[in-house]
Amino acid sequence: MTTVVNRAEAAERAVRERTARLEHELGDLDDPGNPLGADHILAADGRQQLLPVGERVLDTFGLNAEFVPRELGGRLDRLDVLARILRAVFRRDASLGLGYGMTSYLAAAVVWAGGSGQQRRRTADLLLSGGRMACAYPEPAPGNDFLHNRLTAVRDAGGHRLDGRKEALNNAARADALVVFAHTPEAGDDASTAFLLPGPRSGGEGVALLPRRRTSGIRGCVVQGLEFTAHRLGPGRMLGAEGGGAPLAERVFPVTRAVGPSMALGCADTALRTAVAFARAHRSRSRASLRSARTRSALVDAFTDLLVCDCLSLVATRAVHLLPRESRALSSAVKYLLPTVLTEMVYDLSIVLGAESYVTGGVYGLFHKAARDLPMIGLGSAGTAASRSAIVEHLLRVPTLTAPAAQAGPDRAVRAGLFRLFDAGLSPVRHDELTRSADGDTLLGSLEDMAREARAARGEFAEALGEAADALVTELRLLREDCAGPAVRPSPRGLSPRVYALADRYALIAAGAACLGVWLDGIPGLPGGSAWAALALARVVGRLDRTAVRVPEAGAERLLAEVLDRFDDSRSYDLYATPIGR
Amino acid sequence: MRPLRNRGPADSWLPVRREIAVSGTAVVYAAVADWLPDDLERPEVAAALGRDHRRLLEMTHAQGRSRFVTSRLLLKSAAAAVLGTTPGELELAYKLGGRPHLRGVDQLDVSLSHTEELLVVGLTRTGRVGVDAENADRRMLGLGTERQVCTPHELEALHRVPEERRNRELVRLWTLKEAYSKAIGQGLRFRFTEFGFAPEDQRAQMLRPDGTPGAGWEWSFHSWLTEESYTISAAVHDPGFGGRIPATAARPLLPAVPDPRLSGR
Repeated sequence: MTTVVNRAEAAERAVRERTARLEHELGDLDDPGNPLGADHILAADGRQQLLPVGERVLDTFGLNAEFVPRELGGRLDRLDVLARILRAVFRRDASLGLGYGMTSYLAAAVVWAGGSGQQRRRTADLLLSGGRMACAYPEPAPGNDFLHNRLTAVRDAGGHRLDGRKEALNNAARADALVVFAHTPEAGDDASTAFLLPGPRSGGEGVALLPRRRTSGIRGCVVQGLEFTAHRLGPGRMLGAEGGGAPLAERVFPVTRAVGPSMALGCADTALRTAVAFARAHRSRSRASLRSARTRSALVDAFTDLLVCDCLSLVATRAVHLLPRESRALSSAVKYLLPTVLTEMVYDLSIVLGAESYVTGGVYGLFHKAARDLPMIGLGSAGTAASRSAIVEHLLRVPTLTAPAAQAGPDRAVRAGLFRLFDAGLSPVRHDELTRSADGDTLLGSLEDMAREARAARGEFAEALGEAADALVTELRLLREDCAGPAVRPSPRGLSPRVYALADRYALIAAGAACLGVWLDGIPGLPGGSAWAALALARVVGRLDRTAVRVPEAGAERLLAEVLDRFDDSRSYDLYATPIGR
Repeated sequence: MRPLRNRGPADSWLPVRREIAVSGTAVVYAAVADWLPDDLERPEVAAALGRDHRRLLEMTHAQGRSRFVTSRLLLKSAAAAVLGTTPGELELAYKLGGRPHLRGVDQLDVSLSHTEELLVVGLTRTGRVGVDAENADRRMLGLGTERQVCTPHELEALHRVPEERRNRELVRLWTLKEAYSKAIGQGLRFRFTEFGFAPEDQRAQMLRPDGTPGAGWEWSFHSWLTEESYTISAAVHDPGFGGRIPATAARPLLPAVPDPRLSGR
């Protein structure tokens, strides 16, 4: 037992050490002497450039090793840790987070899920030596220019010939390797195949870069299209079998959908910190000051939303390891919910900064930058559509939303380790399991038991938490009823669009259940007993039914104190309370 | 883009669909009378409102009830027409700050406004939209409203507008601010003296209180004066994901949801 505990402690120590080292290297955002300070980040954003010194710091840190599985020489063994570490970069600059980090990872994840031993080793070597990657994923049904993919590969002399365009791809020019999903008509009308090929600089003939696209956010990222004309792909370029593109993407999505938005949470974290700085800097008579009720509730609501998002991200990233079959729905809930909640959180904070929220430079310029960066990260409604469909599928297959029969007992989800923040005991990702249908819903199936525990709790704000938990249980009951109702009745014309509303409600209830689970498991960094969970649940339930619960005022004061403490002490606005920039 | 007049449930939605296809955004307006059911107590009204019906039951003011029901009927009908479905298939829900949205259908953003006998609905597939309407001749000038509504830059500029046009200009500024504030889900919480527009500026660029540029190019602002002397304004957010190609039969805005239970996987 001691060995197990020691191993867990050692793992957590290693994560903290790595995070602290990265935070130290990135330094203090407010320090004008820091080459990675806010002024320089904003200036690079204005020049539409990734901050060169930022890239060098990440090179030195070896950020790419975070994307490479441990067995291939990297440091990746847990997705919750991957997101936790990348947040440090997103707290500085979403362009750097995306351009240096996430984009490479989204490509590499396909290789980890479906590449041969040799492809995996080569990709690992490429990343570990500082290389970049980019990926042209298959296009979802509604689509937009950023998701558009009209690439076709036909068989040719033992390999394939690639033609067509991918309109917008981050890092296209700089990538040393590309993962490309292309339509392969010879393998079937709708068949696609994934290929791993060298970047456009060394890619041989028939690869052309299209002009750079202007983006309203993440302006440092170089987004441009790629055009292939009779581009030769040798026989060893396929990732997996011909025609296996769609199932391969399905093996990757639970990973990327959970971890990507969770990384980007760091961007919203900085928006909140900037708003707090603004409020702090204003005299008590100013309407922006902390004396103003409007400012206070805006800050508390934003912090609460960040915690809600983090609870759901935690559960979804851990579910990839622990409950792979259910992680498809849970990670889709993250990808569906987080971009909207975080974008709206920043709009809600803009009332604190007022006119200052439009300033592109100066002390509070990072706020405006976050407001423009965040909407880009989810790639708009087309970016969430596929995730919403995955939730719909889950609701149709598991309409009862009860835990799998194999599980029993009141705290099954807790025991499953879904809610443990600092727990290292996770098995490696089993990609084959990720595509298998869920046989239950552990998270929602545990909600009633968790609510019962919440009601039985004593202490400050326990009553408010119990009330909110009851309201969430009511919402689950309504959802279950509707999942057995006319909206999901099979019809030759396809399902009613009402299933989309069901998916939205599912994502919210999952977020609420995640908060309750995390609260039950206990978060050391969050004082005030049940206050944070009561507020978090109230905000989740309020999105389902605005009249269902009241917000405990005194609880909000507790949370505000925490917001200010973390500001003064420079710690992150998420579940981890990570020390920042020291 | 021009706001489109709708004359009731029987009117054609073709112009609205076309506008969404071409510019991505449509603003529709109608009269309360055109959409008012004979009897608000009828079960069809309750069915059409869904969860909103509870709110109707709590309302006592007759005019308020009529506006509440008709604005929601117009919104759901317009959205359904654009999405190629029926109003009953859509659930109108509210964000915590009160902003309406079609639950689960984020490919079409909506906004709602009503004043007197006028209903206005904004719809966009590019990002976010906010709309607002006021009687263009509503007295605002000289009531002390200017100082609560205008930035210093706007006050100066307003002063230079000929007196006979000044009140209407103030109304226009007010509706532009409301439209933006609604688009970002803030209603009246965003102080109107903290952002502004240039009076009599047809392109309507957002400005900071000192007159320097405010929100970036992803935001566009419009205002119009209708024949019925209402000022309608809209704020539209388009982060530039493209996808401007009109939704076609192959790529509808609301694709049919395939039933995974039938695929046998």
